[in-house]
Amino acid sequence: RMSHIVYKKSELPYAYGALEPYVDEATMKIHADVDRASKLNILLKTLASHDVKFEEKPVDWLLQNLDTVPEEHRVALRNNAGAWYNHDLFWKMMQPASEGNKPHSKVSHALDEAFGSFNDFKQNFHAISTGIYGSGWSWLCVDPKTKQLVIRGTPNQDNPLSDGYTPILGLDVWEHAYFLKYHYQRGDYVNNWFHVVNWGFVEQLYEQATK
Amino acid sequence: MSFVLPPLPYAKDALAPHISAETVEFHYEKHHRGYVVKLNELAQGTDLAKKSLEEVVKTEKGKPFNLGAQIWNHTFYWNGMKANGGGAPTGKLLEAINKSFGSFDEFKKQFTDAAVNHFGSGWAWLVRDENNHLSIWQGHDAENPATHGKVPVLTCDVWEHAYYIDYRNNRAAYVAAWWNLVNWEFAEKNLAGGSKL
Repeated sequence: RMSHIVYKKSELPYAYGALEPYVDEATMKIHADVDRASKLNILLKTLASHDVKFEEKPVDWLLQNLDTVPEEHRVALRNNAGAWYNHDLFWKMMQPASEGNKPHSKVSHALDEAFGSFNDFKQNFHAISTGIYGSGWSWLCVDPKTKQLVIRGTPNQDNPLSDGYTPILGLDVWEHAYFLKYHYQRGDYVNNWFHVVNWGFVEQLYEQATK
Repeated sequence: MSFVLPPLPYAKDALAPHISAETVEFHYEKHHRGYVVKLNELAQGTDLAKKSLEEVVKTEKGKPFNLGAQIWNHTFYWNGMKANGGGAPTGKLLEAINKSFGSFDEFKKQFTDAAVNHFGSGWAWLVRDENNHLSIWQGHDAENPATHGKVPVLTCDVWEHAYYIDYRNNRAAYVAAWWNLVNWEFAEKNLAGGSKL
C-alpha cells in the first residue's frame, strides 16, 4: 500500500554556479530556491478526502490523470504539480558543461531518425523554444503511439504527460529562467543551454519511455 | 512610418524604492524598446508599416499583435505610475469605484488578488464597460481589454520581468509596492476615454 507522499524541495545535483557561463549563478540561486512543494502539499491535503487516494499517487500519475481530479482543483493541481515536477526534472536534465558533451547512442539514433541530424534537432528545438509566447516549457518527448521523438511546447507549468507524451528533455522558458543574463534574448539562452544538457539522464528517460 | 518608443514620463529612478532604477532601465530599455525594434523589423516592407499602433492592436493577431499590444500596454503602465503616487482616488473615479465595488478597499483587494494570482505572464486591469461599470480584467500574455470591448483605466504588469530584479518571485510584495505609485489622475482621465485604442 502506497503511503502519503510529502513533496520536498528538489536538490540541485551541482553548485549554483556549475552551469556557468551558460546558465548564470545568480539565476540558479533564485530559480532553484523557490518553494514549489508547500502549495502542492497543501493542495494534496485538500484532495485527500476524495475517493481517489490522490495523496498516495506519484506526481507523474497525477499529471497523466488530471481528469480524475475534482474540477474545482484541477487547474491548481495542473499548475502546482506541474511546477514541482517540471523543475525536479529540469535540474537533473542539466549538468556542468564538458568537452564533447553530446547525445548517447540510443537518443542520438532516435534524433537522427526523427529530425535528420543533431543540428536539425537543435534548430527545431530552438524554433519551438523561442516560439512559445509568454511563460512555458519546450520538451523533447517520446510519442507513445509511434515511439518516435517529437518536440512539443507547453504553456505555463503544463507537462507533456498531461497530453499523453513522455518528456525526456525539457527547457524552462519562463522569464525567471534566463532574463537576468539574457534579457529578452531567449534565443541566445536556448543556444547556450545546449552546452549543459545531461545527455546521460536523457538516455535513461528514453530507455524507460521506450521499454 | 515606423513605430516609436514614447519617452518615459519621469526619470528612471523616479519610482524607487518601490520599483528600482535598475528595473526601470531593464524594463524600458530592453523590453519596451525591444518590442518597438522588433515590430519595426517585422513591419519593414509590408502593409503592417502603414498601420498606426492602435490599428495594429485592434486588427492584428499573433506576433504583430503581441508586439503592438505590449508596446501599448507598457506605455499605459508607465503613465499609470508616478513618483509620490498612490493613496486613493477622488472625484469621479472614486465615485465610480464605490458604485462598482462597494468601496475603495474592496476594489483594491480584488485588483490585488487578480494581479498576484494570475498564473504565468500577463496584466491586471481596471476597466470600464459601455454601461460605465468598472470591473477587474485579467489579461494573459499581451492581451489588452480594448480588443474585448472594454475601456482600460489602469494596469499592473505581472510579467516576471516587471518585478524579478526587485522582488524575485514575491509578486505579492511587488503589487503591494505598486499601489504606492498609482497615478490616479491618469486613471481618472482614462475613465472619460483618455487613452483611446
